[in-house]
Amino acid sequence: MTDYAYAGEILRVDLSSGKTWGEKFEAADRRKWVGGAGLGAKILWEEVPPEVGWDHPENRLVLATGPLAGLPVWGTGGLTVVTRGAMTGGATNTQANGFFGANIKYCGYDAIVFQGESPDWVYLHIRDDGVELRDAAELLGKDTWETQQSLEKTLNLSGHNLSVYSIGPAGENLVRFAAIQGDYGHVASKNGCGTVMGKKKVKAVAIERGTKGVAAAHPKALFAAADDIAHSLQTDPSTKGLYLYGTLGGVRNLQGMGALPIRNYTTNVWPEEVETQKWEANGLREGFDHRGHQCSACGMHHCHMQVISSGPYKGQVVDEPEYEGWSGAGWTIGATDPQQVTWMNTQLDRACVDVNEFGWLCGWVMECQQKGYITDEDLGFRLEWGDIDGANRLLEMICKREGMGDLLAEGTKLAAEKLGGEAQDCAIYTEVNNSPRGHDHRSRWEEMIDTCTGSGGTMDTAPPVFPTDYGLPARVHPQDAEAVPKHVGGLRGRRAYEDSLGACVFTTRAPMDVLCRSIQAATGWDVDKDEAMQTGRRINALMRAFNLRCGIGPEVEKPSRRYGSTPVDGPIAGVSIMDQWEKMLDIWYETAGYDRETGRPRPELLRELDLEDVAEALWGANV
Amino acid sequence: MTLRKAKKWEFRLTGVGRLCENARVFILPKMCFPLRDGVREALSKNCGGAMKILKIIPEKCTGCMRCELACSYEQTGTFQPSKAVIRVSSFEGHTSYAPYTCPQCDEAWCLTACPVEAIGISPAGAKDVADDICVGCKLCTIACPYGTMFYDIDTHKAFKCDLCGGNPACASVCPTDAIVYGEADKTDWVGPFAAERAKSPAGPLAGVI
Repeated sequence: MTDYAYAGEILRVDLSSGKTWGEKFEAADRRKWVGGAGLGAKILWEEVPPEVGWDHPENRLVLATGPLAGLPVWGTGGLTVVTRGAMTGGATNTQANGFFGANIKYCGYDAIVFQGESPDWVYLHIRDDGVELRDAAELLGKDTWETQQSLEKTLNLSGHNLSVYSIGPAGENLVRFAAIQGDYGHVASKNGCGTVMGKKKVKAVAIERGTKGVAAAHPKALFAAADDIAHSLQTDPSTKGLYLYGTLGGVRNLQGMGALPIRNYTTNVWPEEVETQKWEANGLREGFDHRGHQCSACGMHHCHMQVISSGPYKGQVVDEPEYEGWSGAGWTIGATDPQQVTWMNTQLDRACVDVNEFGWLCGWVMECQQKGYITDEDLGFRLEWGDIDGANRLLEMICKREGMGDLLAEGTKLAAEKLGGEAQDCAIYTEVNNSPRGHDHRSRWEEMIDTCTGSGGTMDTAPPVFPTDYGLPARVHPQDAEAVPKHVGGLRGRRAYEDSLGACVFTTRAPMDVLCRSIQAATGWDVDKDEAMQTGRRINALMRAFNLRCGIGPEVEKPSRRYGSTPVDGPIAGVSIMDQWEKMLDIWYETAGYDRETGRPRPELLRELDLEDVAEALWGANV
Repeated sequence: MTLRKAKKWEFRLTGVGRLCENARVFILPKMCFPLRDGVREALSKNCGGAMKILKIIPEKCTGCMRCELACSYEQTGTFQPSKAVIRVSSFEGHTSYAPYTCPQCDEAWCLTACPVEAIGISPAGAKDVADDICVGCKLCTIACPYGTMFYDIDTHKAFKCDLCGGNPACASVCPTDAIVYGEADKTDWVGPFAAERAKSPAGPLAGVI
């Protein structure tokens, strides 16, 4: 039996003709590409030639899950979105959790691939083999939560018996950093994947919890491996905080190392008037009436729903923000009242834009207003630091592309370039247009170099997880120009592999051997940590090859002036990353096995990764 | 699909000591019917006291549905929540959940309603369906006041929670201890919770989403 851990079929949807059909996910491809990011990268490379831009009907929008989805390993409802994205114009690799992966596999599919462009707005309804494109006229203009509520009513389903992943008003109006949100609070946010979905006129994907089964090769061993992963998450010092509080601890931890972005990178000093206890992990959790709202099979105390307990939005139910929300909808724009920030975070999920990009954009507009680069007349109103109602007004303008919102809807980089001059100098972006995460990366060099060199619309390597598994030091100094790029380059691959499993990156933070045991038990493969790494590097290399084919090369691998500036105060005042930038890139390229001049993965690396055809495409037949 | 029941019988037959002790009420379901009126007493006597059942603490449930996965694996050998005999019900949209399964109630309407006497009591004390006797008439699914008698469209048989022979998978995989296997004299765990949550808008999260 070859179908262990897989549903075995990919659902193809041609929006232009309205046809849908199932295509076999060949057993031979499974081990090479796994699912999620890997499957998406393969489809992108094979089916999207360079002349097909993000807004071309022939662009593919891949919503994929992987072998662990729907199985009892924690957090296995994963969705990976792969497409040619609107922000960078290159590959996209962005994740959300919830119940997508589980529900779709019980319907009998491992992935959905959209192609073409629908003449009218539609949503895709899936109920086992019954797949149908339905009229979405009634859903238009609704935000993502309203869309899900409306479909629950229409289909008469509640709870996790229906998964809805949709775009909000931002995606409908092709805001360049629009996202895809599902199951109340899970957002695949990077690289304008929601913009692509909007361009294809797909409002939502509604998946009923299917009735089919997913088999595991060694079910008892799978339970045992799942328990070991859970035990590691609960007890390892590097993950215990995540287990108890999700990413809430990030605010105070990162602030301590100067990595909390306060007011658009203008300061790194905690404002004296802000109560620190409120911003500790337990303060943020206990400051609200809250209830667990876990993803498929997950035992982390991570995702929660909460009720706003004071202020103008008192009584409203919102999704507890991730660290990124507290930062993007809060500290970056100068807002320091958790009650207001959590409301704004859910507004962003509902309108459905990338919370990071909105933070950089709104913080930039606030600073420009303060410094007079954007006048009240330009904007239509006065936007001060920390003004949540103003930020929400800005969000509405962006979503409707009203007034200056039309320009801002293009994202920080394009808007700043249009304004130019001093205004451009204070904008935070990368030249490749990957949105930085909600940190002050001037004190976390690993993430700045990763964000600038990433090929999937965000970082490729992401924070190091058990680096000792691969012979790297457990920790390096975050501003060590030699050790940092070696770490980032050396661990390259692990994240891409995790992104292919249909699991959550917070629940795969276990030693790689333990994680591999769960994959062995699920699939029956004798996969080990080295094969996992090879597979991840293959995916990374293919996405990079795709970007190079689209004309995105090493010349855009650098931060904007403000993003790469030197902090003026706080823990790392005066430490400059740009002095070390070229040296760091040299080391990173060397470690990754890519050519420094052209950015191409070297032919010998591509052959080692079993990418003969890519080597030929990039380097010619005779190299 | 018949395999799954065969597996179960086999599993129980390994517990020979317990099986002998409860042979009267278990080994041949037909034999338990003469005891129908006194079945509870007989069972109590055999088990030496109160019986263990699945206690559900809905306040602790976060709706991850892991119990459904483990349960369906015990039932079918694959991960297929549509065949689970524990189901997670949602209250207030997406903010509160409660698993529910057969409370192994004293009255056992399923057992008394069954026209072919296919439902008996297992050594673990669970009311259980014998596949080879069940004719799939679904009467038990109508009789059950809790909605925890299910009908399998593939096997054309009724199926329900059998407490996994005394080691319930749902309780062992629940990450928040919302399901506990223990002795109890009460069977309706979800009822009061549901009643409380229905008192809208009492709960602050009620009815908003």
